[in-house]
Amino acid sequence: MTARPDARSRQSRSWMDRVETWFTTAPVHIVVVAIALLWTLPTAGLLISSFRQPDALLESGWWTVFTPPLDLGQFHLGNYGDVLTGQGMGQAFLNSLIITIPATVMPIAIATFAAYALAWMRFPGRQLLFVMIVGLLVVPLQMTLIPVLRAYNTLGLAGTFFGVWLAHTGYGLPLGIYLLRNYIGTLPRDLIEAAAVDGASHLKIFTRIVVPLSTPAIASFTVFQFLWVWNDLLVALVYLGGNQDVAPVTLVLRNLVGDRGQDWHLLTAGAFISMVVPLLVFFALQRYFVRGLLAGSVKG
Amino acid sequence: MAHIVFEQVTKQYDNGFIAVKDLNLDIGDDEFLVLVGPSGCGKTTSLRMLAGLESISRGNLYINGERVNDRAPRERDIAMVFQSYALYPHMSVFDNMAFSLQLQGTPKVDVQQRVQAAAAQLGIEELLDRKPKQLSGGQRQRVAVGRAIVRDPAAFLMDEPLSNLDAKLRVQARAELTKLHHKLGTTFIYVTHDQVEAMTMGSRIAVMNQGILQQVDTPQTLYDSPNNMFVAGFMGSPAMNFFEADLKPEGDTLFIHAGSLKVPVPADVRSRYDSYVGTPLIFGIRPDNIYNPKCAPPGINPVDIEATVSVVEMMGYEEIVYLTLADSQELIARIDPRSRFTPGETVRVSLDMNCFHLFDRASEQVLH
Repeated sequence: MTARPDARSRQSRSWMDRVETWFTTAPVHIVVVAIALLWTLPTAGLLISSFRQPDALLESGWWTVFTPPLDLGQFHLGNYGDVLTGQGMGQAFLNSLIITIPATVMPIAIATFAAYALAWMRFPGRQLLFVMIVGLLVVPLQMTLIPVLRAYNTLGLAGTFFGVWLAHTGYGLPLGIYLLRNYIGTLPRDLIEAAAVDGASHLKIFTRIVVPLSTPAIASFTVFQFLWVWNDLLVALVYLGGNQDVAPVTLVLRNLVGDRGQDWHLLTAGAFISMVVPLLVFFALQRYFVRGLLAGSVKG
Repeated sequence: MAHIVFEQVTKQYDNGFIAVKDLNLDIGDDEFLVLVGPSGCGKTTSLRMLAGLESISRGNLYINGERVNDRAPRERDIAMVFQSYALYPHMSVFDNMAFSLQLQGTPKVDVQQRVQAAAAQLGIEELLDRKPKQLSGGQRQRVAVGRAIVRDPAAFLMDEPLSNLDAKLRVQARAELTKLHHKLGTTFIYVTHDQVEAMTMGSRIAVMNQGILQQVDTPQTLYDSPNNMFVAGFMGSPAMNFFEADLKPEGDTLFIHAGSLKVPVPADVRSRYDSYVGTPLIFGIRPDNIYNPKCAPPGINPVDIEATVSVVEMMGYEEIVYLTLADSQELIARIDPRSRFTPGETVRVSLDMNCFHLFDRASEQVLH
């Protein structure tokens, strides 16, 4: 007798709720989608342009490819072939990887160790050290260019990959330590202590507990550092000089703009080559940002 | 098996706060020692010092005769169950339990076997493949205990391991831990703020307050002969009734005067209290030592008083009655449920004068 009206009112309420939810969230969704489209548009244009014939590229805008009938014949891969082989982009791509991968791995490794020590090991001056590292965040990189380059020249590191790795590691560390320390510091104290009582040394706690649980923070710092190093022009230009054998894509692209400014088909293809790796890195690591890794460890 | 000795152990924090002061405690080989006290009394700090998670400011800590003050937690051969359970969230239940064995470099076959055995003992074999987040609170608690017993340590430390469980599960887990202690025969040191857990589980109880150890004894001794007012009031629920009192001799009898309350000291213990005549005292009697004269059991030494009932809490198996005396002093009695007292009614109740306590009002220590 009482169950039926109850059920009906509950049903209508949930229906009303859904409509209400839809109306309240719709504006947000529309704005977000609009912004996303707006920001993707230039990239899409770049991608399409990079596949078009050089002549067509100069005659009409990229959006004209959509004028019916959509003709797949107007696209070709020649631009990429050209830019990779003829313009040295292939070698530059390899150089970029050779520079970026160690220059990402090195600061992550150092910063994670440092972050653990600053968060969980007791030693005098710990707070002061951390404050100094945070302070380094505001030191402009340009200040270091001349002294470091002079030191590199003396040590014979100028123009070498190793020199660039070291430089990027140094520039990336303050942010890395800051980000990771703040994350690692929020791991439940009980977990670290449980591991210590279970017989783990600091190194074991670090490798078995802290690193696996810090993957979200490590992944975000990886993306930051990777993108920064990959897109960097200034550091590479200063420490590698004009040496084309070791030049990364950013340097080659800049030269391309200077030498072949009219050849849009080469510029767009070159630009896209330089973009594709950061995109891949981002998509590969983005799942770590959303995963709640700590669920179930302490409390409900 | 571990023989643990705290010798004048003090914990003082950098800001000067003293969490534990001059703790002396000797814990036997197969004891179930419960550290109990209100929050902030230093019981958890004491446990953490024993685990090596907190440094010791002064004093010595011995495990099996060896001074361990400066040893890291992993060098002390102890296992600990945390209040939050602290399960490693990225590992399966099996890996959680196997973690300490793997660190010791135990061969894989042995690890497998010991984890299985511990899981069987706790009835969590079917959970071994799950991650902590897929477990209920009670299951997590078992895994946390399993992680401790799989190591076969010298001592188990438990920091309020049952406080996150619901009431029914807690009662069940209490009995299971007691059984486990009998089976393993190892030293258990158990921290709780719950005096029911302390009374039911401990072979001895150490009551702490404000960093100072108040009394260590078996549950029954602690309940029957508390050393001071704090222990008397902390152990037992509802708490002991206290009245400001004086002793006055009248004729042959020594009377306890507490406002309108006037009760004679039994002749057989009178000699103990003669010297305290005129000293400000506290008279204490537990709610369980107050009876309805009609339902009083034999063997008590009843002294009847008159009081007005203000509140009755019917528990089914007993009645908690809040009584008001003529001078509006209050006392709580725990009486037979057949009494059917009603609020507003004036009733006679019997105090069992075989079980009363007298404390010095200034020092709050019991009179001997």
